[in-house]
Amino acid sequence: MASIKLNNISKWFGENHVIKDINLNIIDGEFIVLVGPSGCGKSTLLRIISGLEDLESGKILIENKDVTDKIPSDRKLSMVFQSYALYPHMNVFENIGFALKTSGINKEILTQKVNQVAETLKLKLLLNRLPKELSGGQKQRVAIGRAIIREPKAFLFDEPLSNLDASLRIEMRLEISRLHKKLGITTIYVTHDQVEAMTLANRIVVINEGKIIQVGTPKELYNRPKNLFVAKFIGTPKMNVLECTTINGNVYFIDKINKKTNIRCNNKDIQKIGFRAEKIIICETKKASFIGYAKFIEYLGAEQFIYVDVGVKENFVIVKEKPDIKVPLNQKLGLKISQKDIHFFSKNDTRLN
Amino acid sequence: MFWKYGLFCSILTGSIWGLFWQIICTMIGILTIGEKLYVNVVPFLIVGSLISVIYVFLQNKISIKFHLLSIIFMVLLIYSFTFGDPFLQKKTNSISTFLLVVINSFFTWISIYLSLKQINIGKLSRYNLEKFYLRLLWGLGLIILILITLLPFYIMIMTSLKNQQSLILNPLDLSLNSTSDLNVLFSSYIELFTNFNFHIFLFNSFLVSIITVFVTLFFSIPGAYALSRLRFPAKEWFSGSVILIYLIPSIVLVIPLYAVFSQLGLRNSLFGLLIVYPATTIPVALYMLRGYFNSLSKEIDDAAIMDGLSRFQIIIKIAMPLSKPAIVSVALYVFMIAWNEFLFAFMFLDDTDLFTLSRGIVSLNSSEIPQQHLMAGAVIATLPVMVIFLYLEKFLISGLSSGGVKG
Repeated sequence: MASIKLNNISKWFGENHVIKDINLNIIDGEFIVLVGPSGCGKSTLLRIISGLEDLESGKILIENKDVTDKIPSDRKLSMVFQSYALYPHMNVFENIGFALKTSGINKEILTQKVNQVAETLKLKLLLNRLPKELSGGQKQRVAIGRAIIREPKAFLFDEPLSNLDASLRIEMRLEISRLHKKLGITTIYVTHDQVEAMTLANRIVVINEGKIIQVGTPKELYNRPKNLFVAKFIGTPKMNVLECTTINGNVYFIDKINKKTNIRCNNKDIQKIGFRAEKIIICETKKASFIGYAKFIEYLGAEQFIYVDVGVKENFVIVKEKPDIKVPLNQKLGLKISQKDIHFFSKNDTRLN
Repeated sequence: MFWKYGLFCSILTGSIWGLFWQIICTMIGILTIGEKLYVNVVPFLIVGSLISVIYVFLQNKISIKFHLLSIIFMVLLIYSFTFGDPFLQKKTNSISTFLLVVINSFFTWISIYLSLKQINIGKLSRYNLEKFYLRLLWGLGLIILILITLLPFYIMIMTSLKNQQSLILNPLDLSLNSTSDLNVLFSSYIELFTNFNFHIFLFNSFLVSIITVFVTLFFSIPGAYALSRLRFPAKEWFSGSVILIYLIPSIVLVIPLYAVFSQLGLRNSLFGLLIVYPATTIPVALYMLRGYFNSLSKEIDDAAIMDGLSRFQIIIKIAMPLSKPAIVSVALYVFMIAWNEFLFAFMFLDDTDLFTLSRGIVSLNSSEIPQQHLMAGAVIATLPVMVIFLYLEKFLISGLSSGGVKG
């Protein structure tokens, strides 16, 4: 268990500046998720923390001790990899116990510890199997076991669930969450899947193009995204974003249907407005904030997504509705949204309200 | 199109196999019986086609009895079409000729049966047509390949077991001598080991080859690992240029090396060879191993680093066990190169005590030493490599790395 501090971390791959001056404070016992689109540098950042990648400038502090120049095993962190990275020529027992064995531990203690870990992860019956005889979920559990047994100061997860199928992913997600609650060890978790980030994290760090865009709890990120990137990245379906202008505090869409909306905004820098699909209510056209025409409906059982053409070119507004509401296609539809649920963005995509 | 019809296919198959097996049986006959036999084309063509047409018409009634009957029928046909003299020997028939005809009929029938399975007389569907032609070509190719590889071996081994007198009498007679005395049969081998120092050559060859294998692996495993995993300046240039040594013919290298090694006193010694051999094998070994290391997951290495291993420990505990098939095949390859190497051994070695096998065999190549001794020497040089190869084949096939990474 440990706090981890990153001070002004920078990393270059040849000409590419992949990590740009990152500062981050991770509190003891926290579950931090690094999230961002592929190629944004989140995995590189994790590898820098683990020590597998070295860095051009900056400092890494674990428990307030500078570990920047220390080799990975001396940092006392353990890592779970996307491809599990189990040793194919060793059975489960040897895989889990390998780190302790190399550190030269007594054989009895080793056996005892491996058994203890296997107990926690329900691997007791699989100890004699080779990795190729395991299913994806079992492999992942072994990989986690290999991380746990060293009693590290922190866990590092590098997209650990992306090789699993959908249902197993949810199961393992819960297991990782449970494990974190049980062990209380600081965890840094990298994923490109924002759902994973939202469900697991105490705090989410959104990264794009090597920079931290926003750090916050899942709730903060969802309700008050700092800029358009975060707004679009967090949440399914994506936040609806429409270009607009204001005249006298009234918001106008740049479109052919809605000349005027009843949305008000006094900031003159406003260029885009955003709102979540579930915040829109279908209503009569007279009471509507703006109007549109339903074009497609996706029925999902528990809910339905309605794609509404509000006249903005190639940009549907997605409305999340209860599944039993009947929506006529290609007819005028009133959409209502309350002022407090609207996000305003400026010309350079930062949040205004 | 006529070639799409089953009838044509059967006639084609029959004539090809009839002719093919007749040529082979004539060859076998010449080599084993030691009599003069001749290829008799037309009757065998006709018999083959006839039999295969019969097969196509009657294939629904196939049973073991049917197979036997058709082979017997074919033997009769061959004898009647050739007027009792299948191989144009111009003499009364012997049992050996009869046996040859039976063997011929048997193989022809089996070949026809295998290539015409499920082919009917009428127009064939595209699928059946393709299947048929593929089967025919595949069978022909396979048998020709087997013959090409086995025939020289057969000639080599049989010649080595003959004595001078019978070789001069009839060089083509490669049947086994009728003597059951092993000392007479293996006289060439005994001679080589007692009078020509072949036990020393054999020992030298083994020594040089095995040390070459170990030296090569000792340098190329860490080297290949470094090329595959580490980042260092001029890495790409280095890994590309390593293979360049193969652009230079060894005959070009051997002359300057001869001069240098003479002056350094390395020339007439096995140690000199042990410098040259690894130098020629390491680049290829490096190349092969690097390719294999590249195919191993880098995340496994990362995991090992996290588990506290140094790079050398990773090579020994992770990379080497995982690349066992590659290392075995590289070792085998290096062993064969060193075992068969001739040019440097020929140029560098003067003392008979230092000769390797390939150099030793060449020393036999004079007009005073009979041909069967040379052949026996060749057999002695070939057998170890063959045995090792057959033994290690299962290691080459096993893919150990599968299943460790991903789902």
